[in-house]
Parts: sequence; C-alpha cells; structure tokens
Amino acid sequence: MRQTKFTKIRLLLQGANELFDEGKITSDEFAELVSGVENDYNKIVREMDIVDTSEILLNYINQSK
Amino acid sequence: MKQKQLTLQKFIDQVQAGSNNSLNERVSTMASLIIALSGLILYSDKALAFFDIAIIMPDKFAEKGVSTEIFVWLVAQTLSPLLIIIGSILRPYFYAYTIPIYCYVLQFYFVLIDYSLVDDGYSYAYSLGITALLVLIMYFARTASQRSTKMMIEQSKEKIRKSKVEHAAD
Repeated sequence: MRQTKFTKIRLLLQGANELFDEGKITSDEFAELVSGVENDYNKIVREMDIVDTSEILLNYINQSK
Repeated sequence: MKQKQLTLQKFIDQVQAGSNNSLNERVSTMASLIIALSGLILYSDKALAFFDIAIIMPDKFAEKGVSTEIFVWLVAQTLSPLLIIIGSILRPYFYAYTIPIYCYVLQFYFVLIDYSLVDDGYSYAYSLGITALLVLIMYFARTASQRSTKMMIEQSKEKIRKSKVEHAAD
C-alpha cells in the first residue's frame, strides 16, 4: 500500500517533468507541483514513522506483560 | 492555462485509475514470485517428505532403485530453469533473484564439497537462509521505493533551480 502511494508520487513527478520539458508548464507551475508532491511525500513518511513507533510500543507492551 | 490544467488532470486521472503502470507492477510482482519459486522448488523434496505427501513415480526410476526424494529433486531441477526463463521474460524485480541464487549456491556446495548423496542435513540452512533473505527483501522493498521517490523530488528541484538560473542569466 505504501509502495503504491510512492509509485503514484513518482508517476506524478514524471508527468510534471514531461510537461515542463515539453514547455507545457512554466517553471513556477512546475515548482508548485513539485512542492505539493514533496508535501505529500513528507506526509506519507511521517505516517510510516508513526506506524513504526506504534509497532515498537505495542511489542514492548506485549513483552512486558 | 485551461489546456495545461486539462493535460495535467488527465495525467493525474490516469495515475489515480492505476493505468498500465500498476499493471506492470502486478506483472513484475508475479514474475518475482515465479523467480522465487524457481529457487524454492529445489527444496520441494524436503517439503513433500516433511508433509508426508506421497507421489507417483514412473516405473523406470523405481526399477533403477531411484528414491522418491531424488526423483522429486530431478523434476525440480528440470522445472527450475524453465521458471527462471518465464520469470525473466516478465521482468521481475531484481532482488527476487537472490532466492534462486542462494538455493543454487547451497546446492553447489552440496554437490561439490559435501560427500553425502542426499542433502538431508540442509533443511535448517535452507530455512534460515530463506528467512534471512525474505527479511532483507522486505526491508529493501520498503526503503527502495521511498529512496527513489526522494531522489526524484531532489532531481526535479535541481531542474527548477537550473531553470531559474538560466532565466536570471537571460
């Protein structure tokens, strides 16, 4: 599932790069797209960290029971 | 401006719908499983013995005194390269090859260095090795996607920086 999210981000980036290379969008528009995509990326990574931390905590609780 | 938005929206829709790219991913995953199976199949004689599954062996082998284990191993040896070829044609993920490589290296050791005729004592080596490989594969699969996405973002940002420098120079 996480891989799919990253794949979608990469595909969006690829599309944005192609549009920029073909001159269909300006550098400002391209920068805006990249910034949005980076925000999404950071959000996914943060969620991953939260999940990882939760797993560690749960394991610790289960072990100490 | 509207045309640009439409072009981009069309692309986003394709991504959201999971067009050909997700199909490619599915095919690559299936191909990786086939490649993994090509290695694991070498272990089928032990799996059959462990689960106590009886198989029918052609008479010509029984007459020559070939044991069921060796017959299953021979069949697995025959099937394994075919699975590797089929899997390779379908473009698997590279790390899937680690499983057949490990199985064949272990077999190479058994054939050339070990003096026993049946590799009965290798069950633990197979199980431990495959488990370690699977853990590694899961780890790399998890981090590789993240790293390549980050790299692509950085490359795009670099492109923007270069473009701005070029515009400033003009």
